[in-house]
Amino acid sequence: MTEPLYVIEGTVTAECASRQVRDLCDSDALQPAQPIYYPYHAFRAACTVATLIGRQERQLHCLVDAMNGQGATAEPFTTRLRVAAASEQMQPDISPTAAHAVARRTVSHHLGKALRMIAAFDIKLEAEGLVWKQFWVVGSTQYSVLVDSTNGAMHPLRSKAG
Amino acid sequence: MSSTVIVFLLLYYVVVLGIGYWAMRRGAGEDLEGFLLGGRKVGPMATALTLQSTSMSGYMFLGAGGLGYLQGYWAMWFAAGDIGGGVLNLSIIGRRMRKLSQMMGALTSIEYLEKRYPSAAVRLFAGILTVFLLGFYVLAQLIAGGKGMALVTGIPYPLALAIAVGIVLVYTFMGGYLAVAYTDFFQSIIMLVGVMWIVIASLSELGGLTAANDAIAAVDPTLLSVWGRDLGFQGQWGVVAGALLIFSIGYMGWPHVVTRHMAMSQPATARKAGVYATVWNLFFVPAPYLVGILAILILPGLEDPEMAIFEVAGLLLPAAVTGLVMAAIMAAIMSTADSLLLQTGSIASRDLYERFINPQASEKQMVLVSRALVLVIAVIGYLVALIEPPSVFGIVIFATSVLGSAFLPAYVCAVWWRKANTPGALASMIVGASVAFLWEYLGLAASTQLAPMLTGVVSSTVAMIAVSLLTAKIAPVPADILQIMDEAARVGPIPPQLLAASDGAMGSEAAAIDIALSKRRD
Amino acid sequence: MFGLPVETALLVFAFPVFWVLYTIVFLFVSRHWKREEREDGGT
Repeated sequence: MTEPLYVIEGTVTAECASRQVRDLCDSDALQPAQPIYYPYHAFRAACTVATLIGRQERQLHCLVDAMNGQGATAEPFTTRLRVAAASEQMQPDISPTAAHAVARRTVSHHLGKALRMIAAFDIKLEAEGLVWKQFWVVGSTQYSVLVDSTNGAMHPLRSKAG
Repeated sequence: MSSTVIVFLLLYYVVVLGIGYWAMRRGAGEDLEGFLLGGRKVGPMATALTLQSTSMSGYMFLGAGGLGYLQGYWAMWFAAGDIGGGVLNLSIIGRRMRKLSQMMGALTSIEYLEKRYPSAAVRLFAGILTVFLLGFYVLAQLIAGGKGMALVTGIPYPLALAIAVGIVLVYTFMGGYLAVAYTDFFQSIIMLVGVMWIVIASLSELGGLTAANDAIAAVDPTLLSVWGRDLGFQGQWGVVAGALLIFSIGYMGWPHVVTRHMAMSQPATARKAGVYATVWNLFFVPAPYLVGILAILILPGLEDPEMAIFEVAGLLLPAAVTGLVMAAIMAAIMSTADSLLLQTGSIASRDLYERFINPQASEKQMVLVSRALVLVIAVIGYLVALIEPPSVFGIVIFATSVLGSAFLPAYVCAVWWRKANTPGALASMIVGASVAFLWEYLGLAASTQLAPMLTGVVSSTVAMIAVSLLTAKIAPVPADILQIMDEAARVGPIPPQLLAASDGAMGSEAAAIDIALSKRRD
Repeated sequence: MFGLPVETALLVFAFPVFWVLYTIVFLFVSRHWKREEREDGGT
């Protein structure tokens, strides 16, 4: 079964991901890179705060991991509809309501740290629904690595690709 | 001081705030947002400068000058160690700590300790101790700000202190940094040029260094010796060692300073940062001590020796320049206080309150806890600074000795000694902090002729080694930590098998995908 | 030197020289650290 998803556009292709892992591991015995689509609750935050130099407004993007509820601010991104097989998708565990609370907390913490002030920010959150990020699983019978299709960042996986 | 000084001081602040306001109005806020929020990668120059200036503004402009004024060239023992503090810190733990923290996915220096020495007790003790001692650094900045404000404006000290505390609070609660972010670099340059100008003006006033030293010898020849006024420290090598060590190896034990290593854009940034640190320190570190020494001649009988640099500046610099330099110095002191308060508030709310007291705390509660703590520190600081103000020098030496003694072996062994384990680290922190604290509190330095920093570091090191070895079997260092320590020792890119959450990202995704993949296989 | 006793002159001038030498030696010993710069630039 397949269904269309809003996927964050990335530049790292399956070939790029494989090459990247091969370069670092000096290994030729890699399996072909497998795509996996990972869900996030997306929010757009409009924040205002009174500062010494007047009222400041900030626009931020925030993504909340729909599997385990971790939040992070994000660079602006674009999405496009893409059809993915159900076997390539992770199923979200976190409700939009829970994600909303996490997003508020994440944005507030981030602003305080970045603007170097301790303040209760006025944050208006606009939910943008689920967006999906494509990851590549690259590896061999010895190890496997997760590669982010948007920036090429890597993380080891415990399970083997082979 | 003259009205011209005050006019230029005010002019400076008006211009700085004006630039901030103008930049925001023009919509530069979006750029600044990227500048502030975009996970700014910290290059070698910024690493070197922030390493030195993170908590030292008040000390350099008041404490160092005061020591030079009181003890003559003995003060140079502190400068002699401090010049190498940056490069020593960067060369010994810089690269490895940057790499290790990336592999462990640690974002703060307290979290780093907890991940290297897995135990909630490590985080709890390190967090409490750091909050307590950073409070002392804040106190030093408040006193420095109050004294400077009183001198420049001529208003009474209690009111000047209240204004200084008020400015710091407004700064912390209302985004003062936002207003001055555009002028940060400009401010550093004014400060550096100003300090060098004071040195040159002092030397010129006294007819050069040789003539000045001859004149000091005529006042009291012991001021030229390495043993202090009236040879008060003669033969006290334990005290000399403390003076040399406190700002050389001491840096490696400051959680709020070593955190800069973790923000370096590359592990190899430590190389260039080391060079910048040495060059900057060669000029900047001895200068305040030297001005203090020269002030013995320029301003004999000074009531408050810690005001030596400000007083010399007021006397020798053109009024307009004094106004600008004082403004830059005061702004740096306020900025340092603000930065320390933010770190203290953050550790108290995130590392302690949310972690150990109320894991479900709302954002409002967190802000409340941070603000309440900052207010408590400010009020206590104001009262202490008003009723019986200790010397800035004394406060900084106390806080540095205890922090350095508590954390130095923990941070150094974290990257260099595979056998350093959790009980060893805990014992080292507790013993080091206790010995240095008691040594200071009971005044044992005078009777034993050993500096608190020396006894603190030696005892915490012995505790680390002894307890780690004794408990090696019951609390072995986890295999994954040993593996990443070996990798941190090796020079080269981190292999993907060991790369943890780079910048804290992807760790949670990887865990969820791992679970999903293994379920599918089953 | 500069009207200072020998040991004071040593304290004032020898330590900075020592730290400059230390920095040069550190730069030399760590010259291969550049290899690590690939790590972040690669992605």
